[in-house]
Amino acid sequence: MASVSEMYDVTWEEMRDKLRKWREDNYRNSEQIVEVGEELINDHASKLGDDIWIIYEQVMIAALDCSRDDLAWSCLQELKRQFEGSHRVKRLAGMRLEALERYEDANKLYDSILEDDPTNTAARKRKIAILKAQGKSAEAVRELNEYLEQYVGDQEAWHELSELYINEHDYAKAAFCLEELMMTNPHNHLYCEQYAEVKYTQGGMENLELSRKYFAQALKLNNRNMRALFGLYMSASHIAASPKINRAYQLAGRGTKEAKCSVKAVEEMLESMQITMS
Amino acid sequence: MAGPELLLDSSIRMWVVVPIVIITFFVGIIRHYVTQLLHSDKKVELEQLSDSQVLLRSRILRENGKYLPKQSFAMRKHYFNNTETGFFKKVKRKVVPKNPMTDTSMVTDMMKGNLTNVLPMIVIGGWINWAFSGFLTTKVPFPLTLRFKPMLQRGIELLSLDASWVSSASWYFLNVFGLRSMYNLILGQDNAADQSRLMQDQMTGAAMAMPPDPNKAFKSEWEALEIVEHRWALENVEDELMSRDLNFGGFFRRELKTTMF
Amino acid sequence: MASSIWKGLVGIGLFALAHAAFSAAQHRSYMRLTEKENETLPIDIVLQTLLAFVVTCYGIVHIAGDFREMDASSELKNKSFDTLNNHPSFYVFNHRGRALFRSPDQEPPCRSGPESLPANPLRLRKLEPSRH
Repeated sequence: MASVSEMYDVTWEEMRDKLRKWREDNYRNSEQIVEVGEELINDHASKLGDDIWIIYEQVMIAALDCSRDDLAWSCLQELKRQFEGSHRVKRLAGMRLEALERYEDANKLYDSILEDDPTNTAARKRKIAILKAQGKSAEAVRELNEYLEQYVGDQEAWHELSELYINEHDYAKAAFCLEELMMTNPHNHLYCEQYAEVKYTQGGMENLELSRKYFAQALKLNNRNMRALFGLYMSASHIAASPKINRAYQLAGRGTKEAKCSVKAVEEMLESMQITMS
Repeated sequence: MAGPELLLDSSIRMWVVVPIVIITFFVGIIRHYVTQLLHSDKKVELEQLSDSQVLLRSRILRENGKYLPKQSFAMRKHYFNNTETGFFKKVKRKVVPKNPMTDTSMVTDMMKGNLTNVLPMIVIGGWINWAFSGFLTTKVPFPLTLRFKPMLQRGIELLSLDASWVSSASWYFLNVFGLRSMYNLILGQDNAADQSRLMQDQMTGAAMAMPPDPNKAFKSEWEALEIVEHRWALENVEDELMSRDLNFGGFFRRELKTTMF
Repeated sequence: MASSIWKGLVGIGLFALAHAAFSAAQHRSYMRLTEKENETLPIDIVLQTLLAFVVTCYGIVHIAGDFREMDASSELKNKSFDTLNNHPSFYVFNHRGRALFRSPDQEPPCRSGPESLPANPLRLRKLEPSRH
């Protein structure tokens, strides 16, 4: 097989930077990470300096995704040799056990980490992930709630919890988690959009209005968020179509024109978009 | 301008100024590595950690609560501030004042701190004072008032001397404080070589040594949260959105990436 | 290799700055020797200093990297849910990757315990024809 550097005509620096970008943005394109990372480790290990250790970690997790146990094992050995007794490496060993579906052993390993250092959040999160992998969703939710009781600042956990709730169709609780995220990152349009989606799914006039507001907010934060634009259109048209609103406007003597105003604007936007798209 | 009022021997530069710079610099680097060797991770207590996160969350609620719907904001405020069941009212943490004499980890920590920070300072400072005392080393290129004389001319008691001359002992201290940015450059941002940070720590030392009382922090956070009222930032968001044209800048021009690089 | 041009520009600028400083020092000592104390620097040295300064600044701006937008949310505009929805601490590994990336000659893994998803064998069978 041709090497990555030959196929794409890139230097090892570019490969390293690409890996870093993937790492920082939480990409999970494990196949590519394995491909690039394996070549980096095999051919350029000496040039990487201290970067090599974090690349080992990244490649190892990706290798577990691709069920490349040989690669994961060699990475783990290197890390074990360098950082003896490190909790982070122990956690990686536990993740390998998980990938091999030896959940009992992995749990034991995580317990030993927690015994050593009760504040180790990573190990606790792995234990929750094990519950998730075993399909024990309700237990995972309970554990995660307990975890969040202690670490209310952990955004990743909040997001995970909202996801679990969405899977359980418990939208009110999912919305609560997303509110928490929105509060910490008020400028992130994706959280706004997801919150609006959850509210939209919940249904009911109040929730629809809220969802329209938050779709609009997401769109304001990032004009290019198509999904928010479509969501805005959907929620606005739902509200406009509701008989309650129509009657209220008629009672107030204003007709349905104004209620449909926002819908119309969005429809126009969508139309103009289609022209540019084609 | 007439000639300089003092002419320094050029071997002062070779045998006093440069050696002092080199000595202080390398002592700083050695201290950095020794501190790394002796470094021990501080155990953070679970309760302390979660307390600080609760405080952080409440602060964020105060600042960014306006982005939440009114009901959600009220719910969170209720959780923190309810007069009977509110978190800040209900939770009382036991504060155990640590006795530095009985807690062995604290004693060793203090020992290490002294070993790496105070001891070299005394030893090297004393040595420099002994070996290089009584030299004028350099002159600052701007005039100074007499007040600076004890600072810049330590070890030289000459009343008639202009205040902008610097003595060797003071040169050492200038180096100790002035090399900080050099260490930042060479050793990275968070280095232990920086002694002036230790000095700053000592200034606020009294406040730092006390374990921060979570009850007091909760009380003040409760007060701060109590006066916050919900003002929804999204009240007019649709109007704001519609008042401007949507800007799709480059959305459709973005090529679909098919390759990795 | 556009960056080497800018690097060259910075180099030239710095050299010109150093040269201007040296010229100024020379001029000062010359003035002292000829005992004309109250004469300003010649215009060419001043001009060289200013020009070299501008050139160096221009080059450095190009070397230092791209500008970022001032708007705090602009960084997030290019993010998508593809990356935001990944939670590295909660990765689970019993997914299709196990079947997808298995080498063709390898036997199907027999280690799948009772916990593994019931859909697993189905997915394996579906992939079978594509490999032969």
